Amino acid sequence: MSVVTRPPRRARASVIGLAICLGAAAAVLAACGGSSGSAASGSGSRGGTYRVEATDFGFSNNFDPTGEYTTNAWGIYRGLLIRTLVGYKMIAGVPGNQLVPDLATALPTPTGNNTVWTFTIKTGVRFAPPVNRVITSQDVAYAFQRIATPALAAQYGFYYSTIAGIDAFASGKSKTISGITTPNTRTIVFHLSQPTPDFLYRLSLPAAGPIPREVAKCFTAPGGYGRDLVSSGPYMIQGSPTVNVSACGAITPMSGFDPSSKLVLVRNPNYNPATDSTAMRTALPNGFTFTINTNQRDIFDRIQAGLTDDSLNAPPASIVAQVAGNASQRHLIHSGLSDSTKYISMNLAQAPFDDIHVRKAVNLIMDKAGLQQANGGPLFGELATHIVPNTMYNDASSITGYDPYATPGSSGSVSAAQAEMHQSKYDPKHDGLCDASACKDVFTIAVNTSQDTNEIPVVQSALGRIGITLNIRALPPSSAGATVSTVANNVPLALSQGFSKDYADPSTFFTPLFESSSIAPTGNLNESLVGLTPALAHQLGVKIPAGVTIPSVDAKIAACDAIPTGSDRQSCWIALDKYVMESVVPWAPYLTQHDIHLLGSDVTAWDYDQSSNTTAYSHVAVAANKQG
Amino acid sequence: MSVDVSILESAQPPALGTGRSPAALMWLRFRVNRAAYVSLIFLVVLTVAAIAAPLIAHLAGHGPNDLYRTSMLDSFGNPKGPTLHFWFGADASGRDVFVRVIYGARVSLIVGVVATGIAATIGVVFGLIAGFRGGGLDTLLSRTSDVVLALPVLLFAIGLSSACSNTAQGCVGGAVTPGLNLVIVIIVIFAWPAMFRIVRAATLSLRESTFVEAGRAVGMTGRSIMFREVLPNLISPVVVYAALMIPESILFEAYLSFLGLGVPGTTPSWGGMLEQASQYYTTAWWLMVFPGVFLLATILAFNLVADGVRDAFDPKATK
Repeated sequence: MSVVTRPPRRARASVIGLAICLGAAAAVLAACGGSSGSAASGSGSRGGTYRVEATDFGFSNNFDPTGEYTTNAWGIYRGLLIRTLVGYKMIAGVPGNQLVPDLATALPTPTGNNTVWTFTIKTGVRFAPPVNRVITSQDVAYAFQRIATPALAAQYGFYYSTIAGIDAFASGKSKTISGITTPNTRTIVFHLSQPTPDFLYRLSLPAAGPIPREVAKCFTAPGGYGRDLVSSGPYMIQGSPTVNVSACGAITPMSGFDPSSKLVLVRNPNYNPATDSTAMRTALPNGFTFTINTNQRDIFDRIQAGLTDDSLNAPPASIVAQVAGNASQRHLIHSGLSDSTKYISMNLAQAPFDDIHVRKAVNLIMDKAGLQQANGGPLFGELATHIVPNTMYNDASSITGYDPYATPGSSGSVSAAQAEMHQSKYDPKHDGLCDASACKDVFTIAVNTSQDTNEIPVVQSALGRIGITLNIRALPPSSAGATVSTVANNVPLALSQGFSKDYADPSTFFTPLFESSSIAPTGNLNESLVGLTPALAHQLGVKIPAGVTIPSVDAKIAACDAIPTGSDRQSCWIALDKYVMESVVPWAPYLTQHDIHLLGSDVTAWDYDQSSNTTAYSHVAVAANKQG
Repeated sequence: MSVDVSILESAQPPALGTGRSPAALMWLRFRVNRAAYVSLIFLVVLTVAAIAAPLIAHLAGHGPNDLYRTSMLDSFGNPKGPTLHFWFGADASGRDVFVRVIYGARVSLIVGVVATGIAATIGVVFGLIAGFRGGGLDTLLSRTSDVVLALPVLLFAIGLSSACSNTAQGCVGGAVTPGLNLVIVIIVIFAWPAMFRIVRAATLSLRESTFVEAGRAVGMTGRSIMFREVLPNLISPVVVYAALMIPESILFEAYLSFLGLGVPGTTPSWGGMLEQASQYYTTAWWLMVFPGVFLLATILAFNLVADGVRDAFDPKATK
């Protein structure tokens, strides 16, 4: 595989899970706003059906785990359908980001300078019907063959590019992946072409879960296997047992999944709780229904009426405010802190943002409190002051409270911003304002969803104070993303950008977002073009302003990435986080989003899955008499 | 855009012999129509308010893009309703809805008048040429108008808006950039065929008239006959239909802005305000009611004025 770029993983409209900590609306903010607590609500009992509604599933690969790259799917996979060699407890907060063995008997210790990883698979773990047999190391190896098959369009296959021989397999030069060996049915060994200390995290992604060759081999186009996904978890797609897998031509879609209307999950009769841990999966409901309801307002009306339990959509701020203001309904609101950062992206190759003083002035003038309010207030997100969310650092003590551009009330400081702007080449009058023509009508891409639209006047007002005026194009999310990620469009400023983690190592932020090798003509996530060289700029049709050298953090990323997981690695990433904020300044970060969930009154236990940034489906419970 | 064929009836020679000028007669007839007269007064007041929007904003103490998030938004970022200082309440960014409604009138009136003016001019010129010259030119222009009328308006608008939004330069070499001018371009493209058809049909009828024959007999050129003999006789249907096109253009701008394809959110427009209101209609009624009422009243006023103009031009009118 030689994939170097990727689309951003599509997240729920907003993210996460603290518990029920709501009093009056004001108390909501005081109690929930400032922390990423982890208390689960309730204990629950076995039975019932957990009902979820959504305006759209939004799956990126028709629910085929090889390519599926959406938050909602990952939450369902991890909690209910797919067990990977290593996984998470699927709880809120920092503990929810810590790896634990799942299919594997233990977390292995790598040898060969982090290049050889050996796993032993637990005994007694079986696939759900219609396969029914024991899961073997070959099933895990086969998942990687699917990842490396170009026709199946694995959307995050780049994470596995360091597995020896995977490129040769992808190009057809080899029929096996030489870097994956299975000495016996319970042992699998990965040989990597270079040290990859965070390899365990990469194995926690759903595409790395076991896949039965006898079924999946029948699907040779992207997404095909999603309709007949064979479960290794506590639930399976309804209708699985009736699918005839004796021949490819006999396979029909499982009746419980229709991408346009429903996903119904029932208990997997082959699931053996003894091979799992209740810390990871309590699996209390008898089933789950995920149903499309295109009327968002109706979804939340139904939740408030107790007709459904949860939604893949985030409730609008107006509805949350209504519920929070109602003493009898406040307990329905649940929230948590996501591992995602929302930011304004500045293009280092475009005037006036090629000047670090302008970029720092933007940070100093930005009304972050206003942007927070535009997103629904403190309940919907905490102010972000640096790149990586604190919950992704096992020990965030050395970066907690770090804010290099602190201003009173986080509302921006005209004096501090103008003092910074005063040092800029774009302030020829030395009046603290961006006077040059490059500062006027700066081409800006914004997003036209309701909350993102609310951000536009806040940004426009703030930048106006330092003399920057904007020529704003507000586009639908997909168009805005495509426009900004096409380098030749030379977008100087992009509002309402967001990035969510793939796994809980800061490399998933720094590598795609700031490494020069991730710069690509289209689908480019390094929107600020950090590390852009003159040669690469020429190739991409970008004209770097004369006399400007764009900073690079490639060496620093490589240095951190080479350190084994642990406190030293964390410290390295934290130092890089601070370096990027102070010496590169590609962004004005402003929000770490909360994931708000409005839950039905029948929900008796709920937690937040920090690893997937969704409801922790493996830990929910509903009143046992609810059959959906 | 629909064509009201009945107005063709008004393409008749004016009534004779009252001793007043045709304009004075028309004005007298128009004033008798109270609904039209009151509507005209409303439109004049609205136009004055739109022109004086900066002064009104100054008197109100709030600019159209001034943010009052601490005083006019709650802790969830939801807007607060009308107060003594914010007569129409605030929007979701904490901006004064009253001031933005007044500023929004500017967009509506500019779009209504400019887009209609351009579309009507194109329609009249093409209609005259096609109707008077006939032949291949008529076929070309008629089929072109048929093609335009067959285009899906909203899909075309969405496509054009998307294509012109990716770069700072817009499209067509920078001639078309998203915003007000793109809205006007889209409206013109889809509005001229209706006027074209009306004028062409009337011209086809008039070119067989005796006064046209007389013009030819005395050696007038075709162009002179078209513009000096035929065109004056088309003023009545053209003015009436143009008056009907204005509210349609305003409404179309509102549609486009409602879909996020119109003017940028920082430029207040009624359609854009209604779009934002749709997110808050259960909790912030004022966001929908005030721009909605102004849009409704303006459309109604233009329609009533158009009716009044049609009646005033009609020599057979009894009122």
